[in-house]
Amino acid sequence: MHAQCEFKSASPCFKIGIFGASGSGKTTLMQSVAGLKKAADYHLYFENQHYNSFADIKHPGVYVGADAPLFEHLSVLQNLELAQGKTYSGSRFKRSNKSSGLDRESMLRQIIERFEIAQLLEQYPKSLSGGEKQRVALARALVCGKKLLLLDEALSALDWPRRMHMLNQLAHLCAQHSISVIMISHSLQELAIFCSHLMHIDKAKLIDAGETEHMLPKLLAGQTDSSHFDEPSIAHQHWWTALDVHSPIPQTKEALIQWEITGTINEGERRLIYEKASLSNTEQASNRKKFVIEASDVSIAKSPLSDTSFINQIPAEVLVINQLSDAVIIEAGLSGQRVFSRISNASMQRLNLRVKDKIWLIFKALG
Amino acid sequence: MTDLSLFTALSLQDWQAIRLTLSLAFYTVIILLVIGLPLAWIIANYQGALRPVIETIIALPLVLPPTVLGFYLITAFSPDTWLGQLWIEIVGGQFVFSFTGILVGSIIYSLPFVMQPLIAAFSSISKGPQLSAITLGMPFYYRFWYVVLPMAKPSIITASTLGFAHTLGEFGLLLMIGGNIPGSTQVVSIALFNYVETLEYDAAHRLALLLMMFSFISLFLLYKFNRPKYLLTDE
Repeated sequence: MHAQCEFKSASPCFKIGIFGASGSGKTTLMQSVAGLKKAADYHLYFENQHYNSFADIKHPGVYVGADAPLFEHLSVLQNLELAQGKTYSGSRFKRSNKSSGLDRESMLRQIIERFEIAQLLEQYPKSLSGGEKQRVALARALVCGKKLLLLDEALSALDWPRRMHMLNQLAHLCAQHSISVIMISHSLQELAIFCSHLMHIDKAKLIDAGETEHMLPKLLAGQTDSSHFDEPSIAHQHWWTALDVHSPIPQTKEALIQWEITGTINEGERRLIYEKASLSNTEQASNRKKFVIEASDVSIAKSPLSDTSFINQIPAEVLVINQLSDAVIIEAGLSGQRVFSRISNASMQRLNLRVKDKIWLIFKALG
Repeated sequence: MTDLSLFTALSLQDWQAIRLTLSLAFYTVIILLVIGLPLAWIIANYQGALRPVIETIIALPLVLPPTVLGFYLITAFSPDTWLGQLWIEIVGGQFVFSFTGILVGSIIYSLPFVMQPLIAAFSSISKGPQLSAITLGMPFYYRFWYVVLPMAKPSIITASTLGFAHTLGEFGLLLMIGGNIPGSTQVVSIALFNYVETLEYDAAHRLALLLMMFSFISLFLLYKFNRPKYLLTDE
């Protein structure tokens, strides 16, 4: 095994996603970059430092794998404290980039709160579920003080809403503590909503790399295997399977919305949207959020609806109309972003939509 | 025969044998742990071509007749070899018929019982938790003290108990090296053999029961209490 890879960080706080099918060498690549794979030749440039040694504790990155091997003889809290360098006996080990004890305390408390692991602190890893273990493992990696997170399917055991929640919290923490992330996932949706840059690898080779918004259409177009979209409900999976048999127009597989609340939405509607997204925490609502929405979960109306159960309505503009054999995919512009909506041919005829029409997007489900 | 009568009936020579057996077992375990812990760690992290050879050598005392071991040891340490001369210079006496002699013998004899659990424990730790600790940036002494040793604790206790109990049961090797000198090399198992030879079955019974009890209790305590609570789930 001889993996050679080179990362050069462009910005001080970057989020790179690595996408590839199973067996494409993602984990090998990540473990090599983390310096945990013997006989792997890697070169990591991070904050103007060059790293290429094996099992080096001065390596800037902390690797978090899907199996989340916690220290089983320690409780969750002790796991976190040990990683932070503060042991249960009270001593600390020195770190080059150590922050003050007070900062560490508040960071620990903040992470426990954001990752919702307060009720797990006294438990031992053996009694945790797979998803709980992954949350603790991620928290432990964050508190250790390193500035580069290497996440290898690190949230794969979490259900989709919880995973979205964790990614949002993680994005917030990374921004606050200037932590960079390289993330591996077989889920394009997960990468798309978190990462600023995407790398596509296959058979241990880099196929393509670039900014997420440029990479995403290409990656979606390359998808013929619906298994990459395993997070949405079973009904949609079924629908995708059917679509693949006919003529796949991959852009319709998902619509990505980057919610930045702007003046186009009035106060009442904005509040309702966040409630719908099950974001009860008021603090979260003030942050920038990202959601994944299935195109079929977005309906279209020509005027705002008043007597309906759909309360998430946002004004938008029709940009592109894609005619499929059994449906129409509307690409709508919303505050400078693009949203896909899948409507039936009958609806299309009834609405008689044209490019540049003003419409209302109605969201059936969020988060 | 009640327990009380068992102990009052023991002769002075029996007590000597018991004291000798316990101190032999104690020193054997202590020395094996001092040598075995670092050695097991090195072997657990070594994946080279010589690993099967090392594992074979460690496992050999399990299958070899004790007489083979004993024969090689007394040959190697006989006073006309350089090893025997070195031994006499350092220890100040002959290898055979001495307590230090049977101590060396029993260290080799019990080696696999201590080393194998330690190597197994360290091997499993060095893959997962050890790598986690490295990637979290913990220095070596820190992860050895707070991660490796605590996680290996049940195996260290197992290794010590097995080493101790196994030393209690040594016979052939000790007889070959140490002979049968009361107060110096006559351990309980040899004293027992002595009684049987001289047809003193009551005395033999007492020592046999004593060894049985010792072994039973140490193994029972091991299996009963050597389960850390963090390994128990709520089920």
